[in-house]
Amino acid sequence: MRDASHEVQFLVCDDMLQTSDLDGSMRKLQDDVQLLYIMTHGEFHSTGYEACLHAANWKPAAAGIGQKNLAVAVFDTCELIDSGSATSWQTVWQGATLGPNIRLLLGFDGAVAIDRASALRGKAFAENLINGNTFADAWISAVKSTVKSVYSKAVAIGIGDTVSDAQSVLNTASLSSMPSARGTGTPSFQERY
Amino acid sequence: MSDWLQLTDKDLEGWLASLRVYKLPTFRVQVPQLSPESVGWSSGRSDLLPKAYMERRHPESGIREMRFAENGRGFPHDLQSLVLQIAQSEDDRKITHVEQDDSGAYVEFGTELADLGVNVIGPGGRVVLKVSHDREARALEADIVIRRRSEKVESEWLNPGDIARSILQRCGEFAAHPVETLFVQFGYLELSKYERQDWMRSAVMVSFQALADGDHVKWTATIAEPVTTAKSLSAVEGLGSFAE
Repeated sequence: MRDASHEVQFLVCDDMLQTSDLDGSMRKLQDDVQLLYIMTHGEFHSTGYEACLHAANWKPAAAGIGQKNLAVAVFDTCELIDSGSATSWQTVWQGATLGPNIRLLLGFDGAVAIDRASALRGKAFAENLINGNTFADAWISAVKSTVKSVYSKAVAIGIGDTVSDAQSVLNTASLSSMPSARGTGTPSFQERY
Repeated sequence: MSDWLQLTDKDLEGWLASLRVYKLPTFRVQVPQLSPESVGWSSGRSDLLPKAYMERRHPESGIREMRFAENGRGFPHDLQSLVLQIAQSEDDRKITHVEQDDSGAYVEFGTELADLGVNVIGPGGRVVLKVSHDREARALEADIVIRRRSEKVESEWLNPGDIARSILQRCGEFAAHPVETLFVQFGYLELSKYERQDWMRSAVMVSFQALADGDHVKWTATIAEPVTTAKSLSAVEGLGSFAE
């Protein structure tokens, strides 16, 4: 991404990242960027999605994302959603604190393989973006081209004022066409596998 | 995607022993010469393809990537056939299965080594056709993740018990408890287009899940374990990132 003249704002591994870096108690790193990519463990609960950091879990749905610059969040973790759960993922994410700027959530439905070979999907995602793919295509294609597992099911979720608005974000948002903010009403979702 | 076979840890050694009927040489891969010109997108040339297209070799692996203008009808059948002919010119493969998503925007052809009748497994060994949304227009993309084999090196089967023990040990490194359920595939491992591969060898891919307990989170991973050995070849040669 840097080679293609994109600014990487914050690059950190493992136990250097604290929930206080993200939940607003000290700062909200994700507010400064348009694209967030986080790779760690993740869990979908009826109370919301949680990204597992070293010491504690970050609950983006509770703390809120997308109030400022963040338009696209990639949760390269298990269970951004879990369509096998008794709880509807749409209901759970509709209850989240989603600011108007966040328009795309990229991640996995259920579990995902985390190993060295599968981790190439991050590189593949960046390469697809630079080649001009939409965020949704870049993510799903990156996963399919790198991961071989019985568990990994990539999903791209568009967020809009209506379902067609959410679909439009899936179809058009890319590095050269960053999505604009939606209204402040209840979000609608459209998923693509 | 070719099917995964579900096994228990106790069935693994017997299954591996049943595969020893196959003669499995190791092959050197002929990686194309990569230059700034070949890894950049340029107009493609093929007698097979009357229509204009762009192509390049992936800078990491030399895998052939092609792009066509979208005609509003997805990937037409005749174009699919032509891309598969080009794939065949990369290496002697036979199409084994076709996987397609509901929208028809993604079609994947799996392959086997035609001369040996053994599947190719892993993220490679396939031809992928997809309709993508590009910044300018919808585009048709083809990834021919098929590497050309050259020199053949005779190889010997490893002991099935040793292979099984190594697999279970590697799976156990992820888990609080021994992994008892495994999903396995056997064949020649081919890496994704994002990795260079100099050797193609027979291997078992294992997809598994380590269950959570008080100290461990749920974890799923995929590993590849070689089933043969060859003189002057390291144990992990050709496995790429799956070796770790």
